[in-house]
Amino acid sequence: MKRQGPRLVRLLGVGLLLPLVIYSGPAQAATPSTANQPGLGALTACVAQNQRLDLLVLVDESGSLSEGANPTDPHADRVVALKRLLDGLVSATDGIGGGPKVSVALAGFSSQFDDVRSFQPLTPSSLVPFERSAQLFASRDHGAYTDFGVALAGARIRLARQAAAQNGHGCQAVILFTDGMYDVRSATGDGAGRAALCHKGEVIDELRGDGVTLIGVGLGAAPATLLPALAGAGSCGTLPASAGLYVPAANVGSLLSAFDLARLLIQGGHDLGTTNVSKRDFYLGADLNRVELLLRPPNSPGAVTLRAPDGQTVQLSAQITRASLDGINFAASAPSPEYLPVTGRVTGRPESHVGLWSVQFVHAAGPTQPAIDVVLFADLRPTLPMGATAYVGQPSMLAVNLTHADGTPASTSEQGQPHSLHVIISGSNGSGGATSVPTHRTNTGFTFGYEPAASDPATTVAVLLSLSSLAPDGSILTTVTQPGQITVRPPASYPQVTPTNVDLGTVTVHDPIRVPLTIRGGLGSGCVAVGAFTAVRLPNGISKLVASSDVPTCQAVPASGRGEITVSLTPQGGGSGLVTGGLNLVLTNAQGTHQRVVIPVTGQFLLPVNQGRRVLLLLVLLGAGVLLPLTVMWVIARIGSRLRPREIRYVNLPVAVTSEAVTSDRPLAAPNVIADVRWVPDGAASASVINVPDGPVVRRRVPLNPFAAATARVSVQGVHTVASAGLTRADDGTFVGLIPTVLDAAWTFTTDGAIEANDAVPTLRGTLTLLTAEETGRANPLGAALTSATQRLPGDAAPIFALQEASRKASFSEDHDGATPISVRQDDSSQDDRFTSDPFE
Amino acid sequence: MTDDDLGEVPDQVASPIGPPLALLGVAAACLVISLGLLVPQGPVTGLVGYVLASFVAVTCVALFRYVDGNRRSSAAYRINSLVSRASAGLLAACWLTACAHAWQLATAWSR
Repeated sequence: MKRQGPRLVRLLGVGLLLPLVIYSGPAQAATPSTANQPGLGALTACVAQNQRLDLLVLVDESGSLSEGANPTDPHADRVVALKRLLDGLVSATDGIGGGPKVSVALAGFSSQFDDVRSFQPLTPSSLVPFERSAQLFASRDHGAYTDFGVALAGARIRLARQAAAQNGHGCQAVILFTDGMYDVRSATGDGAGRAALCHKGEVIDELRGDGVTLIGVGLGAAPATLLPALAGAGSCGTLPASAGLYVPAANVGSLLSAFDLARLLIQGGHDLGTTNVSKRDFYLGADLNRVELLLRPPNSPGAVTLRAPDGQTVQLSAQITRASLDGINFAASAPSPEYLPVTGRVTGRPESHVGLWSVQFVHAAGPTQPAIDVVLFADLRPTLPMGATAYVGQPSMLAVNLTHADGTPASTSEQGQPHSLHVIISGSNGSGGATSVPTHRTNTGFTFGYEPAASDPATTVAVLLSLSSLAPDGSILTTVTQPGQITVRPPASYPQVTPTNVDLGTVTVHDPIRVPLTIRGGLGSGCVAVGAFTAVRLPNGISKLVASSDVPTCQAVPASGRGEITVSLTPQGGGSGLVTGGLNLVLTNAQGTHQRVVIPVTGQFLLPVNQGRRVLLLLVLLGAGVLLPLTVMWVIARIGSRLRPREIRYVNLPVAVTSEAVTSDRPLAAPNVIADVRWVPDGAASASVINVPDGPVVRRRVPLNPFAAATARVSVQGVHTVASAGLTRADDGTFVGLIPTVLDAAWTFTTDGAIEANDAVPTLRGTLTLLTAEETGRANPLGAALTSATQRLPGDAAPIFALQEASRKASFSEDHDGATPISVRQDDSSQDDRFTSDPFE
Repeated sequence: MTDDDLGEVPDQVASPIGPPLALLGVAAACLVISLGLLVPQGPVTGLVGYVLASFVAVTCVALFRYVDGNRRSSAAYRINSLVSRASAGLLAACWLTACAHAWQLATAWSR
């Protein structure tokens, strides 16, 4: 399982390390953290090329962290270090191409592998959950053993799953933190560890075979030789480590700087090495982007003095955290009393910061050994122009420009900075080896020569450009790696075929797919023959693509002439999906020699549409999309009506009877008649009923559209007369009723004064506006009281129960007048009976 | 029988209430999401957009009308005719969007 182009990357890693000379000023020698180690150059190159990094952090959970007489990490500083690692990976992407996607997983180990958090993209929004998971390690320190084998085997499985989920594209690394030596139930010590892990085919070989980079962080009495060997700095395994790093942390104070160093190197920083002195000089070049100082003061809390090349100084400490000096903004933090990391960012150009700097602890003596580590990040990167082309069999000189991350070209002074460039060219379509080619310095950058092999049919080759910034003494200050691409074409004596790559776009597969190619004659006459289509990926259902052309054998073209050839790609089978592959062509020149070229072809195949099925599906979907929502609305209305109390809502209208209208045994003082106006909502529909007591009821049920104005008209037949009434629901939801009352004397009550009335429901939906006799223009025995009601109701949206109030007032007024009292009582059964017959239904 | 038997008649109107705009907002959000899902043109996104625009959004509008109708019986209800028109327009937009998704789905599933 190869996932990160190991051959190219390993070669690059070796190439990067060849000139590795650390400049640390004239006064003291620095110990580079990557000395005698593969380093992380290949990893950062891989990240630059693939823009992905999968990082699995393995944390020791053995009891020695917190138990025993001398616990190695009793205050769980590993958690602080881990959080700094996560935070730093989120907040800084300098040096690895401006923002590769980083996915992180957290796991612990002792005698078994312990998943804490599976792979997930590390982003500002996911940082807090990651830190919460990291905090769990504070209490995970009671494991019995320190089994690297279980840890690395578990890590390999998780990384393999992640690689499969990412289709193999990406670069993978493991950070292994431990405080002790290899320790399992049956054996202990580095020797036992080597026997278990380093033999042929064991887990280290498997990880290296998968292209996984191992970074070891050893705390205290961590294995002196095994962990560095696992990381590639020693003999372990039969496969060479293309990248690897071991960072020792002698005590808790240096644990934080160890994790920081690992993170900075993953991000592409260049480590100038660690010096265990209280003062150190270091050179900053013109194309510096950022400088990181990992400072462990001899006493705590520590303070340092920074001296610029022009002699100016600033002091930084846990209290003084910000300062600016010669165009660099410095920011210090103090994650622990024993550690003082300082970040310096170049704020602008021109490069006033170029020269020899020094950093010195304010208090040189103290109980702990001081340490100063310097990591630099470059601002310039090598760029191969788009469309760089080389011809088979002909040496070509290709230019490499120096640009900033935003694409702007380097300034003259930046160009003047000493640089070196290493160029690694991969083989044809990744099938061949990788080659390091010599480069030449120019005024604007570099050039390098490249001559594609005659047998190479590739149309593009991948290039890795590694630019190193040099100090005046030639030592490397920074290194930045960028990918590039070269288009390879046959030599000029052969016909040229365009386009050099074909994007079919989205193609409906029913007939052969026609690809027109243009042929331009070379220096002599020649011809072009179409070969087979080599598929890399085909949709399910298509076994192959058969390539054919409209010319039988070889399409001839004269010298410098022009010709056309149409290639037909016929799918064998049917299916939808992505198609990638190469169309093989054979070019023949005037001498009769052949040159094979491959034109990359990509496209998206779609099966043809079955029109009948489409129409049927459309009808089904439209039917469901229209009818089902309507059904939903109807069901909601029905359920609503069921849930609502069964209601026969009506209103008692106070009416007055004039003396002329009354035929009675005894005259009545007005008002003494109640007419019932009922409105019977039925779910979403409604009906209107006008009723008079004791009269025959005629009800008309009118289904109403609940979303529109509707009218329900009801005729009510009294004993001796006919009244008609209507209720109209207006757009605004109110109900307007017209009662052209023609009640006459025969309709009045002259009984014992107990007037049968319907039960009063205090609410009606909407507002009922009653128009009275004045509206009808006729003499109306109901006039007075209705007028009173009307005056209260319309216009101001008063609720319908105002009518009831009017009714009550009518009763009061009658009492007051001393006439026959009106009583109102509920009689549901009688009302239900009235609705049993409905001549309109 | 006394006047009290008639039941209490409220003297004051409760605090004003209006249409249930939240339901209309959910329906509008479904519509916006569904419109956005027209762009990717995949069968899964098409199906999600179709369901959102047809069943979910229309159900929300239906619920809106039902709840609105119930609230109209309250004396404190304040009519907003613009919202009623908006709900009708939303309904139409939902159906049109559902039709567009239906076309996409029918095309995708008929290959």
